[in-house]
Amino acid sequence: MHKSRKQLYYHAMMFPGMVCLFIFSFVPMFGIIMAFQNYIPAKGIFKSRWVNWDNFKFIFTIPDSKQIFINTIIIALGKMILGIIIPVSFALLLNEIRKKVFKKTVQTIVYLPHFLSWVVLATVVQYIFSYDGPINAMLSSFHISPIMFMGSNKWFRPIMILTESWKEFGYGSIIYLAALTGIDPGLYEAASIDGANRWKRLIHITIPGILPIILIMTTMSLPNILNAGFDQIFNLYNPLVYQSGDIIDTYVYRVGMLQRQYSLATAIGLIKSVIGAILIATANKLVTTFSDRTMF
Amino acid sequence: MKRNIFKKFIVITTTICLTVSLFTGCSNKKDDTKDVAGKNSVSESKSKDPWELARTTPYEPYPEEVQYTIGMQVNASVAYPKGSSDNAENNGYTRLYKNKLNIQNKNAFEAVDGDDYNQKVSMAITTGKIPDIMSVDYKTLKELIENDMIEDLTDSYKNCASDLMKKIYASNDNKSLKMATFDKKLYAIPVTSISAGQEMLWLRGDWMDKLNLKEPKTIEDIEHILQEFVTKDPGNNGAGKTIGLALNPDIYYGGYAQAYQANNIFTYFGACPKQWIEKDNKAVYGSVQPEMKQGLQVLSDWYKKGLIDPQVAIRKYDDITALVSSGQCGALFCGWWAPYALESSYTLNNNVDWRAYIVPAGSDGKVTMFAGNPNQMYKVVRKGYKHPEVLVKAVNISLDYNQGTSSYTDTSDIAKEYLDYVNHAYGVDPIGGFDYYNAASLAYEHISEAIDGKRDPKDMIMYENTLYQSCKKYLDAVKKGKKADSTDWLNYNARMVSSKLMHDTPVNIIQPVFFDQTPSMPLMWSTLEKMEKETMLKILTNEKSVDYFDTFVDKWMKAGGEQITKEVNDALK
Amino acid sequence: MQVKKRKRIHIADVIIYFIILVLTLLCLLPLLNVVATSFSSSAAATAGKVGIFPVDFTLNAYHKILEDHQLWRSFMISIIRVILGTSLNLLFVITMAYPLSKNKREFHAQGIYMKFVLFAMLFSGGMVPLFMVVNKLGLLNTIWSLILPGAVGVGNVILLMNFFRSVPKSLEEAAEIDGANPIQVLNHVFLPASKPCLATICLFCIVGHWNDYFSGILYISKTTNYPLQTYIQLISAQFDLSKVTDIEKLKQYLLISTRTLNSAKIVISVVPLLIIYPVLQKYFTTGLVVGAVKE
Repeated sequence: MHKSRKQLYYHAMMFPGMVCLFIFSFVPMFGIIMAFQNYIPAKGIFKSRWVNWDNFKFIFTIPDSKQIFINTIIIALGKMILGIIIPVSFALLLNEIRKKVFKKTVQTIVYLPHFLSWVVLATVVQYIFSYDGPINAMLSSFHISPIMFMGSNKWFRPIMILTESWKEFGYGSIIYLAALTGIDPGLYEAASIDGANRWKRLIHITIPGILPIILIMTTMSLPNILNAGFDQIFNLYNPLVYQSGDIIDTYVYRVGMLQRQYSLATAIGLIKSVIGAILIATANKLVTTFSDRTMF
Repeated sequence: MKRNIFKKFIVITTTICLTVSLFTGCSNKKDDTKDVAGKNSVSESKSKDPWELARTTPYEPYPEEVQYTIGMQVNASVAYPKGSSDNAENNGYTRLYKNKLNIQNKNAFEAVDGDDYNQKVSMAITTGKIPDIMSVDYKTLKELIENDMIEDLTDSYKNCASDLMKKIYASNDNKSLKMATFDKKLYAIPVTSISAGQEMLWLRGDWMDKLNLKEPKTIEDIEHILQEFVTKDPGNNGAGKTIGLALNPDIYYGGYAQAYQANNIFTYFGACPKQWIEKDNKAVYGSVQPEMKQGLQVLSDWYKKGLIDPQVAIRKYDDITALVSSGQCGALFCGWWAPYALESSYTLNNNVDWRAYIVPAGSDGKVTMFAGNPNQMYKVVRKGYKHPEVLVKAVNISLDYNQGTSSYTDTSDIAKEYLDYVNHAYGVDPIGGFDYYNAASLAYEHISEAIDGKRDPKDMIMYENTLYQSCKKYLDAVKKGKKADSTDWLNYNARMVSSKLMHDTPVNIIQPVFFDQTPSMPLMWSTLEKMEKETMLKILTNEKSVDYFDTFVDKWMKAGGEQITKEVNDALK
Repeated sequence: MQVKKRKRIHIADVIIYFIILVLTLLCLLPLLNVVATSFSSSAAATAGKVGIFPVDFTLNAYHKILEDHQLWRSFMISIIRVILGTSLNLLFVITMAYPLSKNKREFHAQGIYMKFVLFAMLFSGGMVPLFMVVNKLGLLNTIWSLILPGAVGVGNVILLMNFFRSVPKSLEEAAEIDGANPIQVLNHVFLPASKPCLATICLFCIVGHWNDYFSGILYISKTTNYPLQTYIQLISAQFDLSKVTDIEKLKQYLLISTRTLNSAKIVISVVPLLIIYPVLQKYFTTGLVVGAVKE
């Protein structure tokens, strides 16, 4: 087919989606100016008072802003890392299983916690880590005195990271399971003829096979570096662990309780976006430099 | 099969698109207000213009139907009587309003009370299209006034407010109206709060009997009882499984007779946590006053002695309710309405016998409580709406049937249907009313008089009558030696036992002086609040000593507390 | 096609089965708790006595739900939303991912489009301006307000784009030699080869639409038009008790906060998701295989 006709086809295919993006993503972006205003609904976007960088200054001048940012990044980073490792490992493990019914059942079960809200799961998590819960029962059989996990600044963040991974790993592994089916079975046949054992096949065929998807999923999760998971923390924290568990989103929520803080929320959103953009650009650069792939 | 994915897809999409456009076609927006009434308002000109009459009197109906759009608060699952085709704009409530005043609502939006509703309100404000009538919070009320978006209701109230409405406002010294008045103009019909009454200590009487404990009077008595409960395990929970006093870790003081707080321990020493109170002619914030320390000392000692749940810090509200319901906890502070929270414990255990005590009394023999915000919400009318008095007149009707006696005197079908709606909690009243400040005490008076045969059960408001029936059922069951239904147990204990205690026990009341927000509050307050919650919980759980309180006050002042205190005082000038 | 296996039980297999079983059980527990709660008596649930078996077995909660006509109406609205929304999502995802999967030599504007798409993914004006746009378009209180604002899932576009790139070039070239235009190439080569990924994206979209309650709150003004999750949110709304200053409201809260009922609603809302996944799993077994064998 003629080169330029092909281009035309491609443009035409992009068109409807771009129109939709333009209307529902680009047009509303005029709202970003709210970050530089003291937005009051009755005045609207065009008449609210300009405050320049005040909203941003506020974010960095509240007494505990450093602590809040640190908490957010640690928890978010932990979730990002486990959010890749556990689903990938699980998908690889499941891939080793040949019993189809078992495999399907397991897949369906582990994907379910994703659909339970944190309001519901919080009760379960709280029980597991309470004085009379299974963890402390286990510890006491080793003669370790009970630990109040959910009230401890040492334990709170690891528990948040672990429980989030527990809730999401099944759902997260779906994409890798899909990717695993895309690996050419011929490769395995060739490898077993060469006498490669299971481990070797994993290292040389399976993992390289899904590596592109792992890379893309990792990159796409980078903008979440400032999203530590509001619903979970909000339902599980208490004033004793503010020190280790108060994150940007819970803080903004509490500010918003007094008055809807659209401007502050927009300012925070803008910070998150800018940082996300920087991270994605960097990751893309790294990937293109060290491999022959392009991600975007 | 593979090559057709794309085609199949298009077919499905188109089919669905068609189906849905049919489906949504009927639900499309139709929110243009047809103000039929307005056009004709000049035409009639007899001796007394009926439009003028409707505009200036409480009960006169409009000569033609007047429509109003409304932002409606719904609170739970909305149900209508079985088999009826009623909906939010045509139901037992709206028909009564239509019948009495010839007014008809059109719902601009509906949302669940609270955050969701406020969200809708603020979106409506943003787009500049607010409904003719809606409820807003104080903050929004001020914003709407400032931007000239709502009607001045001074005249409407003057002309159309019924005596009953005025009487209800008077039950709290017209504080409600004062809060809605700016520059001598009334901008809203405030929805009043009911007084929560004194905080009471609720104890398991069956446990007290078992352990031969006498009723508590002082802090030492309370401590002794908690000690006995925890160590002697009267509920057979197993050693170490019974917890003492239930406290809500998120905030264990400052509410208005809310469950699982301990305000009485603080007010005993003269502290008024979380309230802006007057002290030496200046407004101060109660939580940072030195009187707090004694209360904190008592509670942190109790924690040390194991008289407060060792895991208090990680409990959520529902967890505490679970402890109380399952019989692991036999002591809590709560207002007269505690039986609502205790119903499950009765369902699970016939022998449960909760007793309430208003303790510990101060040297004058009375417990001190602080009063709450006089208002919950403010009903406002859009600027430019032709019949602002519709709101006042409609509220009149609601009050007459709920707080007045119209529900007995009016025997029309419409009224009967309205009663049916109220009693079954069908649908949602688009307008709704509010209640006397001392509604709970009044209810006790009326119900107890009726039980004693001194009052005609029809000489009380409808809701009280329902409660009266339930209390009687409870007494009948007890007489017959049967287990009373849990709802009847609840109503009897709440209305006849604890309400009686509230009604009969004199109390010192401190009036907080400030319920508003100052300019610095929106951004600073959450930091201060966080600091307060964190410190107080750490002191309670002995993670910090009581003396740390002074450091906290210092930090609090520097982090903006001082400035906000100054602003509050300026605002009160 | 499968690697031949010896009958001997591998120690590795045992370990794998063990780990998977433990993880599965961990995921099953909270769900069992919810199901058990929905079948328990209200008092037992309030008292926190329900573990993974119902206490005082009762069907009360389900009886109540069956009577709730609005719940079923909302259920239907959600189903329509899912079908319509997912179709639209897939349409946009496929048509956008395909040209974007081409390199700059094949599609000159790929770079610019990609930048726009990424920008749209990262930056957002927030809720207020989006609401104003939806309002201006007259979509408020229609099912389109739930579907159109999120119709282009940029994350999914990028995902599918990467899957498309792993399809061997030779297949495309072969089809082109046969005279196929790009749409035919997409339809006959790329889509069949990406079935597992399409199934995954389809699942993501279904789940996204089914679970989203917030756009319902924001854009739908009549509770009778609420989709299921928004309606469930409405009836199980969590009040912040420290903010409730009025006794009557508190009482209302205490009366409606029936854990059993809420659990039953969760069960009802999860059941469709329980059915849909195994159905889609069917597409997880075929994939490139088909194409590769052809090659």
